Amino acid sequence: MKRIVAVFCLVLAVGIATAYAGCGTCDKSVVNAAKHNDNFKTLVAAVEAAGLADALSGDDQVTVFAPTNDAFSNLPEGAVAELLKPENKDQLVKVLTYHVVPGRVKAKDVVKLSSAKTLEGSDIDISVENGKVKVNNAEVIKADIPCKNGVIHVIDAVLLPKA
Amino acid sequence: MQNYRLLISLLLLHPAIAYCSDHASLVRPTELFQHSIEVKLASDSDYETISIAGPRLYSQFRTCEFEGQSSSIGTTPYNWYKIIGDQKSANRIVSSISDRKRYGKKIKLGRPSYLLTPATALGDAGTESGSKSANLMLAIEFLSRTAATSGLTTETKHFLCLPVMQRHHDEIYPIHSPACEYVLRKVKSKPLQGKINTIDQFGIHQAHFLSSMYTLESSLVR
Repeated sequence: MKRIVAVFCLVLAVGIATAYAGCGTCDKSVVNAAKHNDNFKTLVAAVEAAGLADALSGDDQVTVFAPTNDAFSNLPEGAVAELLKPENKDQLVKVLTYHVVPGRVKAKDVVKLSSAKTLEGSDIDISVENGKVKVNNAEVIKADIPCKNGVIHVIDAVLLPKA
Repeated sequence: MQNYRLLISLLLLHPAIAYCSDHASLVRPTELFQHSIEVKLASDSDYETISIAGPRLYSQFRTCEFEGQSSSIGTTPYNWYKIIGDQKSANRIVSSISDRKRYGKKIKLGRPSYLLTPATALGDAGTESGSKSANLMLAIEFLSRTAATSGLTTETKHFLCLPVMQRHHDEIYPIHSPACEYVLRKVKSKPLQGKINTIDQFGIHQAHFLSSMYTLESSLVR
């Protein structure tokens, strides 16, 4: 009986240790990492509707400023539904690629920048105000989620490129 | 044995000691970060996995640079992560060191208690990063005995902070200044107020100050 308990404890300990040591997102693309996080359901739906899932799952390293579901719900009523319509795909691609910076830029390096060029083509403004990291008007609320092809920083507002 | 030799040699090499009054303060993070990383002291042959949780302490040490000669340039913020769980390294580093100049006797090192990682402090209108060549360090506890005039001896808790290499998600953090070490002494804690926002290799952290805990007694530059 003692042996059974000992083996059970060993298996449990190894299981816990393995789970603990795991990164969770390191072996996933930024898209797959977002898919496994309920906070990004709207973002993932938008990425898929825009046909960007494959482009953001390749070998090229990217930095994604990922708005949460709450961030999308703070947009004017009906805005998300409007963006997801097939006829507005170009506009959706423009908005989403405005959240992506080429290369893997960790938070410690983000704060050294005052701006960064996005895949959309225009710049996002980066600043530190009152101890908070701001990207345009959004706040970075969690940083450095490591992924196979980049890093995700979570933001509390959707970034909208200048018209 | 290899560690023993290294530690002996480190402190027998007549360290130049610069004193300052920097404190390490106990903090309570808004969100506790836990992770596993691999660390390796300069004398180690291979990396060892440790589990950390924090940040639990925050300090701003006087920056230690070693480029042929010792110099101090500004301060470097550090987040301290508690090493948790039953780590092999807890026994591996137990050894004796001798700092004749300051402590005058052999000191038994305890288990490594904290991983110190350089951080960037986020202020009201900008950031403070400190030295680009700041090391990651392991804080290893030891007790220093002091003989009083009454004949009694008192024991004071100290930390010896040694540079350490780190491997995390295949990213290597090298030792930039192998000669830079720090000794901290536990002090009577004083309550602190306020909070600090920082960024380090593990992301963004907000923590509330609780109390002052340790003071930087010396920085040793071999």
